[in-house]
Amino acid sequence: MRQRLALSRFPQRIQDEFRVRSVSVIVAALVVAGSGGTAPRLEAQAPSPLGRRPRIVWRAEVGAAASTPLVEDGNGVTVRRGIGPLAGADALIAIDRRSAVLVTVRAASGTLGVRSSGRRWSAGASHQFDLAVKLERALPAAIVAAVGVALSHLRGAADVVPFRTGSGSITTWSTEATLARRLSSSRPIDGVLSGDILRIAGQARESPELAAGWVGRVRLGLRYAR
Amino acid sequence: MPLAGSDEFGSGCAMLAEGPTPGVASVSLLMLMLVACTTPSVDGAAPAYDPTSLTSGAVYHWPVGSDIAIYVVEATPSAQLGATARTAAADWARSLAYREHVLRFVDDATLADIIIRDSRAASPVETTACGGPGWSDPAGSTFFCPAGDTARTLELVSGAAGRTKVLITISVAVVSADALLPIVLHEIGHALGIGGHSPAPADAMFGSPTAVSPSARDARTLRYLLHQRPDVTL
Repeated sequence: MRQRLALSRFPQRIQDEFRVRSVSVIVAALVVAGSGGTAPRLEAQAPSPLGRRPRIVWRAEVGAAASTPLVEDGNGVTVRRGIGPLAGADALIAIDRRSAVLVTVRAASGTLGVRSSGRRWSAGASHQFDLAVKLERALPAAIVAAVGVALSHLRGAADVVPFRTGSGSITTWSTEATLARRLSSSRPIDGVLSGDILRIAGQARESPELAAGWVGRVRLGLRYAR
Repeated sequence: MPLAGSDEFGSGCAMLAEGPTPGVASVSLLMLMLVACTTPSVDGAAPAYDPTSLTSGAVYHWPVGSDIAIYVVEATPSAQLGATARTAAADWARSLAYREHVLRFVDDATLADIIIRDSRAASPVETTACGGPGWSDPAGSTFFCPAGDTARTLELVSGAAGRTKVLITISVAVVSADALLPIVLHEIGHALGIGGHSPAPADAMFGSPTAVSPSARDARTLRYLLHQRPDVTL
């Protein structure tokens, strides 16, 4: 209660900082949650004896992504990415029998839509490319969880906020969390549910001026491990 | 009105800040609230000047998200008006934040939503039958014909079926070369929906325009009015 009261009196900047720290708490909580119980082995093998290369497991993922709005304008305008396809690939190196580090490259696409006064129109396509580093951990019930950070590059129409600055592209960072579960005992195919939040920086020099914020995205897909 | 939206966001964020310390059980909810509270946002600022001062408070504009086709009627082979109109339209397009309109030029009057003509050339559309509002000026004027909550299609003199709703007339012969762009820019501002004049000389919509591109104030005013429900849809 003391913390709640104190926060409510703090200026917006401090509260923003609290929210950023909340993300760290989320990531930490997921890591902690993934550390207990009996768990299945990850697909990658444990580190090899000294002098031998650790085995890299390659995985491919396809699916679809839906996101929260990119921009909300106080005049009633919303800029949003439509649900669109995604494809990605992981390179996974095992740390131990239940943990692994992975590097992911991923591309997603969707229409860039604008809505205002009951009307909707398209502003072309929007693409997002991610390079992520994640820590993966096997959990009970054949579930594998991963958390990580990503360098994200967004492309969209150069005449639509938030892409007006940067001539149609934004490079930023995001955090993500993934849960995957093996769908078949005979084939290495997982169902994957992921969420990520992406930081859009403020654009103080633009007209109209954009205040910084976060864009959330949910991804649902299938993953194949080789 | 726009500020009310900001207040709502503020309340949501305050709830998040004042909520319990996040635990594992509330991680998902917290994540969603975090995103919902801090969506990148643009302030819904009031217009810099009244965009309806010439229309008795009535808002008019084209349906947002639509393409607007422009046809230019020259009186001389120099094509000076056409080149100036293209410059002015591109300037207005740059001031749009959400691609509310795509302004494109056509070579056929039957395809035009807006016709811009040199006053020395014969008008390709009939306007005398309608006594609707327009803005008369020795240098330029913008005319459309309201009919209830929409605007009438101006009939082409040729008798062909058309779709023109707005006629801009520019007295190219009486304006200097330097004054042409500010005047065309100003009239296209009216044609897009700004039914008012700015009190600031630096604005394109100043009554005696000299600005060669829309100001941030013009852009803000246009952005505001384009997202109001129109009393008259062009």
